[in-house]
Amino acid sequence: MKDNLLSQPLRYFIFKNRKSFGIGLGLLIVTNALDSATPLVLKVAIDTITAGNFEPTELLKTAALFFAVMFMLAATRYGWRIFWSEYHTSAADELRNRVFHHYSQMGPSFYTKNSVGEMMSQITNDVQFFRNGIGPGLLILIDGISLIILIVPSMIYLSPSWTAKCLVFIAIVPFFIHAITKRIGALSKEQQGMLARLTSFTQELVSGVKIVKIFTMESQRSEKYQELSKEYLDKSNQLNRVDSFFNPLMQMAVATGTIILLYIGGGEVITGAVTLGSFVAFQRYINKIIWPFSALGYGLSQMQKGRSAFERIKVLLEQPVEFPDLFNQKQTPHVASVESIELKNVGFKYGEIEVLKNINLEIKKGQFIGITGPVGAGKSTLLHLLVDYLGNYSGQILLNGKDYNEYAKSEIWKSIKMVPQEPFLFSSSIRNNVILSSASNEQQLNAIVSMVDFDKDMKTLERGLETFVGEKGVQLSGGQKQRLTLARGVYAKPDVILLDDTLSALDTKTEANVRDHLFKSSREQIRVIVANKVQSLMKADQIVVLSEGQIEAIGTHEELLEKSKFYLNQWRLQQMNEAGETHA
Amino acid sequence: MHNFSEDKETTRLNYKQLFRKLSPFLARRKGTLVWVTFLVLAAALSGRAIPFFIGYTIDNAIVKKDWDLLLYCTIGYAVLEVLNSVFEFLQVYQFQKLGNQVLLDIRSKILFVVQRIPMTYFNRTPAGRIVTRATNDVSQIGEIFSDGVVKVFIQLIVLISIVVSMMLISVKLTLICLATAPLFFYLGIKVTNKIKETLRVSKIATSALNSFIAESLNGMKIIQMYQLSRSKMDQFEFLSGDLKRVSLKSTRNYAMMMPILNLFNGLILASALYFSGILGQQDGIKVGLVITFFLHALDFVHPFRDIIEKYQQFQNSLTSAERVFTLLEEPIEAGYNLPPIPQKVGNAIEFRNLSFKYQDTTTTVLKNLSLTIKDRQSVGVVGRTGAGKSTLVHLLLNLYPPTPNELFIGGHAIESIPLNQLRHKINCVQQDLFLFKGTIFENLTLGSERILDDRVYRVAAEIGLVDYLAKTQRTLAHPVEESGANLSTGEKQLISFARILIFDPEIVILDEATSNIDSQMEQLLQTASKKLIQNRTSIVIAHRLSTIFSCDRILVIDNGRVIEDGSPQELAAKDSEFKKMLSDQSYKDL
Repeated sequence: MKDNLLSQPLRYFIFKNRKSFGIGLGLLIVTNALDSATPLVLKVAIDTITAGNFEPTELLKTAALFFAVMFMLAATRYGWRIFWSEYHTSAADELRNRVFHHYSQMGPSFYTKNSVGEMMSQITNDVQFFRNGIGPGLLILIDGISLIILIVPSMIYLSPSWTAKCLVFIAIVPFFIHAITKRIGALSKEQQGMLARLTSFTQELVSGVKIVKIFTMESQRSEKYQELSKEYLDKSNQLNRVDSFFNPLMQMAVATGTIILLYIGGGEVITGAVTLGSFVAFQRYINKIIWPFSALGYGLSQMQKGRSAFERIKVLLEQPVEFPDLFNQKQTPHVASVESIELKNVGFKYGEIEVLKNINLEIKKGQFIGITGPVGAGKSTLLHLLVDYLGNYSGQILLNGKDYNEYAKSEIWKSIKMVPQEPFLFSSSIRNNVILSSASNEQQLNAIVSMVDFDKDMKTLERGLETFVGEKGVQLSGGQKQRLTLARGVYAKPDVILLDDTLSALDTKTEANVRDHLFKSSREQIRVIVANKVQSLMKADQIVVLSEGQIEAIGTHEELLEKSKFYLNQWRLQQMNEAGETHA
Repeated sequence: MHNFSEDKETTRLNYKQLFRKLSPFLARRKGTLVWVTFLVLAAALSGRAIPFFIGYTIDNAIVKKDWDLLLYCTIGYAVLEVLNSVFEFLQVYQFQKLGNQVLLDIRSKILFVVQRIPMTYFNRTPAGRIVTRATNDVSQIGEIFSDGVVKVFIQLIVLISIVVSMMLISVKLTLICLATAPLFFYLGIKVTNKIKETLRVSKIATSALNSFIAESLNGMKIIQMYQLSRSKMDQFEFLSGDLKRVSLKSTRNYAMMMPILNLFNGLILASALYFSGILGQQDGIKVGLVITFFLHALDFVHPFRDIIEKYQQFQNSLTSAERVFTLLEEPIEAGYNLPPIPQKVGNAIEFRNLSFKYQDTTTTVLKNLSLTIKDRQSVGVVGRTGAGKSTLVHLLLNLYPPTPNELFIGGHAIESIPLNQLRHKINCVQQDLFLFKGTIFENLTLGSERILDDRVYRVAAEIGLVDYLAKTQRTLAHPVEESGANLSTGEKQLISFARILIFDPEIVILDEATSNIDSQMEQLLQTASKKLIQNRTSIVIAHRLSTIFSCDRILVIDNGRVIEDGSPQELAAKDSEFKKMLSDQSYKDL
């Protein structure tokens, strides 16, 4: 099943939704047959009228037949839309789920390469393009082809010679349509680009409005904007010109057919070779044949777009997932509690750049480990390795003496929790953001909320812990988010907690609070803290100083003041700054 | 991302009010309006002439077997069709062109207003929302011209022309054929309302799914590490399934429209066929005229449908229009419309018992501040975060208006000075360094034409910016990315300093940012800031004490009041707060 979707998506989805697809298709063809029959009914009516001296019931029958056909047409037209949309909506739903499932199992190497915008566009626009291709696109194509198959014989039935003469030029229609659609596509792309420029100009203006006011740039900005707007206006007009051309062109196509018909057909009606009814019916067919011919162009281009969208989705779905055991639990050793973590000669490369090398470190239950070092020393990378988030490292990391690779990711992540540098909150209540999926323990929750000094923020939030944050709720500041993210990590009470420079965003008092808590917290927990502030690390059992991806020194605070020049400098500098900060 | 919270806004604006608001924009384009109205009529009339002409051809050329007339009629028909197509084309195009022009006018007006509304507006309105007003919302108004009310208006004229044409042939016949029109109009409106409702619901479902996806992608690391993958997948399937259900429902409603119209069409045409045939027999209507009638009847449903669909569907453009016009009606800062005041010599600044708070609800930031800063005096202001230092900047530039008669510059109450005069006189380096996309040069002149290129290069060279850039093979022509993303904080600061020196205001305020800068940059910035306060009335809000020591006078602000005031040497000699700060700061010798 899985591979079928990737190799033959159309066949896969048609087969999967064969009932709605089949019924929809059947109803569509019935609809088209009925539609192509109407001019013939009209012919009968007009011939009756032209002949004169008819019984009213005779005409009534024909008119009733005409209405009956239109009535059925209404019913079947409703039918195919319903069934057909069932088919492609289900297909879109399934594909969307597949893409999200895939995203869910991707890891850092994927997420650093792709922007959220690109991924969003794949799961929304590309899926939509695909759906349009296999749904409306395919439909229009079938619609067009079946109408041509139905109408052309009807026209030939009325008059083979007219058909030949009138259809010659109609065959050009699809090319016109194609050319115009292409031009419209290109122009609207340019127009969109210009609109984007206008938007970013406005965006810049709004965020820099203070500067604009201070430097009295108002008129000058307006002039610049006027220039951009003028360009946009010209492009819009150009697009609208081509766009407005479309309908009259189609109308002219019908008219040209009718002119030819009038000239050649009128004569034959005069000579009596053909009835007036046939003449009128034929004109109706000319009217009706324009759409199917243009439909070929539309349908194909929709399907084309759908195809290339699917190619992009396929590239994504064919990439191997980085965390394959997230959804399929494999049997692996269970971690009852983390006794030790050991890094043996661990190294990590990001592309060609060596971020970490020769890291040897052993962490035991209950230990408090500090990590520090200059920007780019590899601190954050080391934490990410400890939580087994990065693959492709060299050397070995052991948990309770067994290689990380022997465990399922879920086992490791159950025991080791990291609080990342950049805070992230879900648009949900504050409570849910802290407790996530675990049970709510009121007492513990309150204690943690006050530990991260969120009590004071709670006073400004009407609904307290139930306050909804994010997109549709209250917007929190970066610092508030950071503290809640921290609370989340602490609340989970993992065996190992890793703080990636989380403390730096906190003010001195809160930082001391958290530090105290972590220090006092059960001696069962392993705590690893990356920080630049020496104060945050002073009490650690071991402090690791990283430099250019290597361990430069390791030891307690006092030892490092002796051993590490970097550490000593940091310490001095920060003491001075601290004094300054409280006053300046 | 979109602003989802605005989805459900309802509007109080109706079409009548909308046109009243639009009328000043339309009044400017009277000529085009007349021209467009002519085109609409011409298109409608030429469109109606065609069925009559076909009927005439049938009755007089074909039935009467007149070969010559048939040729003329064919040519005549061709001419009519061409004319009609040309009118149709021009009508649609001209309307859109008119719309585009009006949109441009509205956009420019918005930009005019946005630059002149008070800062308080920006504090309570997210930047994204203002941008949406000026872009998306304006584009939505455009739909009025391409698709909305204008289309209803055009189609109404077409519909009237059809009915009149039909009546010209036979009033009785017309009434019979269109007897059911009110019923179908009612049904059509009902379905449209249903469509509108499901459309709204599916929009909500789409944005719920989209924001869920965006959030999940942003937080994937947390989702994975905190083992939420399974529950997030379930939520996704639920939301995606919901979207599927909703969109199927909306398809069902959409699908109702065509059958209803088909039915109506069938009824019109069948009755046209039957009754025109009967009437033809009774009243002697010729067959060509019967066909003419039939062709008119065939054209009836299309505009009928457009009117039903467009009449209500464009609620969106109304909502957008309301938002746009609300913004356009925001009051602009009073200072833009003041008469110029005579320039006086001297640029002393006086605070007379000034108190200030940003909003009625917030706390008082400055309390009974009385203070005079002499012409060309440089004053350093120090104090804790939140002591009210930045508020001084806001007041002196009149970004936030103080209570009248509490702040004077050069002897004039600040509220009486026109803003452009005030802001030419006073200028500042802000803490949040904002650069525009463009080049470094453009950021120095800010596009101002009164600044000579020479001056820019001279000043930039004087403060060492040119040399500094040259070290990394850059020049003043180097591009600056959006909000200066490709420059370091130090560089941005140096550019801001240079900018002020180029503008050469009489009073300068320096609100420094503290940042990690290397010692060389530090040196450049210090020299630049010294140059800046030379010979100018200046207020320096500093985090580096070294900058402060070059000031004539120091103010220590705490809790909205001046607690110490004196020369740096004086204050340093006493047992002062300032002295305490000095002893703590070990880099006083920098």
